[in-house]
Amino acid sequence: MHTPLRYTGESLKHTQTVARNGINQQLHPYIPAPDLVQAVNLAMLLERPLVLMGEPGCGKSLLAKAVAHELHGSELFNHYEEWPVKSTSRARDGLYEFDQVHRLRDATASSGDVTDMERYIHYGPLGKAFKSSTAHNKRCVLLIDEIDKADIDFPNDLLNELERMEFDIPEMKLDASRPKAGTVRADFRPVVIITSNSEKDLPDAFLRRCLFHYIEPLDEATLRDIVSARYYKEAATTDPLLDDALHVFLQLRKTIQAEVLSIGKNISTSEFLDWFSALKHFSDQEETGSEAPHVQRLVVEVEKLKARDLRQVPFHHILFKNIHSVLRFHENAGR
Amino acid sequence: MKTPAAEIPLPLYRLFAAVRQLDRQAGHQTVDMPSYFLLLETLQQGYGFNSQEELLMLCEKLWLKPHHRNNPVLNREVLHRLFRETVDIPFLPDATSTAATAADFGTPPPPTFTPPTLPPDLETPVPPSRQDVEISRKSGFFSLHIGKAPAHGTPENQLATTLEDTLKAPSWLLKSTCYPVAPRRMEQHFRSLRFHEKSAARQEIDMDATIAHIARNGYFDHFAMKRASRQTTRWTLLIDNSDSMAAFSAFGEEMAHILQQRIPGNKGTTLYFRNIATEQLYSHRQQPGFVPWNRFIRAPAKNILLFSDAGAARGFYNEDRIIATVQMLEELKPHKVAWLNPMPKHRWDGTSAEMIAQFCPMFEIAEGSPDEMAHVISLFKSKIARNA
Repeated sequence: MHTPLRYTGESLKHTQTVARNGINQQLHPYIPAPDLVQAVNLAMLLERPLVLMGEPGCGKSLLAKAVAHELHGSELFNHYEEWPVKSTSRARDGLYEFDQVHRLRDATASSGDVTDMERYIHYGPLGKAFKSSTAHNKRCVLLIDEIDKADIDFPNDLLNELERMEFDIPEMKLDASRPKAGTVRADFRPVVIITSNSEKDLPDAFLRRCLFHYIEPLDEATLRDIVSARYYKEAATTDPLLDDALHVFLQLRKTIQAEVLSIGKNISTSEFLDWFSALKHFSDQEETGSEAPHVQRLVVEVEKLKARDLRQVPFHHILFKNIHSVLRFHENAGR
Repeated sequence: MKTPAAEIPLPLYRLFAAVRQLDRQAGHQTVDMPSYFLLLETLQQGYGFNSQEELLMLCEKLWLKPHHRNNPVLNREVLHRLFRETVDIPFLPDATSTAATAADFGTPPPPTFTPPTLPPDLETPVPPSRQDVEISRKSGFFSLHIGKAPAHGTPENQLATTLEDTLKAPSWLLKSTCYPVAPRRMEQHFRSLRFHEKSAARQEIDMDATIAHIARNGYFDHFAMKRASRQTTRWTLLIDNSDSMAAFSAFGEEMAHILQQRIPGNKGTTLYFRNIATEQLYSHRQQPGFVPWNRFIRAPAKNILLFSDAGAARGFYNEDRIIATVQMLEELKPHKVAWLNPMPKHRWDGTSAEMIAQFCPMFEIAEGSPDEMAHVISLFKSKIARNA
């Protein structure tokens, strides 16, 4: 029996660079809450898919990459598959596609061996995850992103494959010379992480085979850690800009939560990071002394943050994502 | 001497039984025996013995699903309370302080399963399930009543009393979103009657015919076309909007909403009436527009779902109502009709509903596997016409 894989959440505390198809890709810090770490570990121990829900922008989808990074380090992209689900997605899209047209063309042009069915099979993310999980410590991390976008029967169509960890390709079974071909089986269960924005309910039969975790909005200390790791060289930074930004963001969140502003969708971590990115950029411009008028105007805008006035939030368009929110913000600012 | 199988204490079974029952009460079936077996397997692997928090986390992740968030019947707080009251396993103090941290996960599990010493009075579960926490549905809808303390044995009594105290506030839970059939299931039931309808104008490529044509001729010269088809349903909801149905209006509106918003291509509609549909049906609950009854019954055949208490809420026979309703059902004969009664079946006895149910297939709305909505679908899928 194998020792269960273990996720600590420690490996991605700083921005890392990992190569994907020869191109370097940056992975920003991901600092998970302790209960999320436990949920991931439990899912890996029980070899069950982990269903994640939470406000949009709370870091559901990023978790899969963080887990893959911790398990596989720089080899991450050899053991990581992503399946972004769409409203038109079918369960079979994740398994494989059989290129009928290619085979037809080969048959009519007499080019290539049309009996070699493998040539016409294109594996989907789930199929690839099954095939690449060849050893216990090489289990693929599969992200099925936003499963709720698809048809309501979509999760049910995945039940068998996720439970048995195998699927058949009927087209391959036509090849009489290879009687054993046509069944793709995962030697080891991939680590499956599924995200949902709760736009549609998931079926009971599907949920009972999964573990579920709801990602709560991050607290101030974790947000500070994430921003420090991403935008500052020192781990424990004492930048007044960060203090002000955190204060304003958390107050805004609280206000919206209490429905005082009736702004609708609450602002999330990802919006905070985008917003802080802009604040930091123009705050740095002030230090470098840029004299361009449009930059000067934005630098002055950042200065407003010091007042910590919720009616004078600089770059509020980054935080509010719908017209209703912006209008309510202006309405309150005008009072 | 071997211990008889029936006397082997099952760890956390009482907690599981209570959670499962609440899950059913909330209209779901996600907490099932395999999830309990999985709990046992996990315990066997050594997980869950380091601290109460770890064990609670395990139960939470195995049993709580998305629909339990903000669910008034079963949610995280309820599970925590149940856990505190049913589980009293002594954990080592040093283990408690250290093992709950995420960083220690995976390191301490002992290689073999060594069950902790469980206080026998609290953890001996037999007989299981319904004697622990009896949840009685007083009506098909909104009630949650926790009661029935075990008859004897001091710790058992204490436990049951505490459970009762914890969960019976309020013992009658009035929450309009606590439907006996989950909205998702309703949607699934409605959709299960969809069929392909061919479009008169739109065409699409018939790939199979095209390939067959190439195989036959040996060359490709054109695409074979076929009439495009799309999925559709023919549901019409007739909702009784009388005063006695006020308590169930949220459920009716939810059904109407699902039909309108989540069943694309439904060819039916939702119409309202009061007690008996005679001269006209209203297109809105507030009655701003209407459809003449005669025109409605002469329209092409459809699946009609009547949502009314059929007089059961009033609790007596009303001969006039019965006669008028039977006449209404006669006029609906060209269509397939099922009656969904929000009152529990035992409340139909001695009321107009009891008589009306003899003239039309009438179903209560209740949990179960399959639920009563599934019987409605079976009826519509069958070729049996009403009254046949």
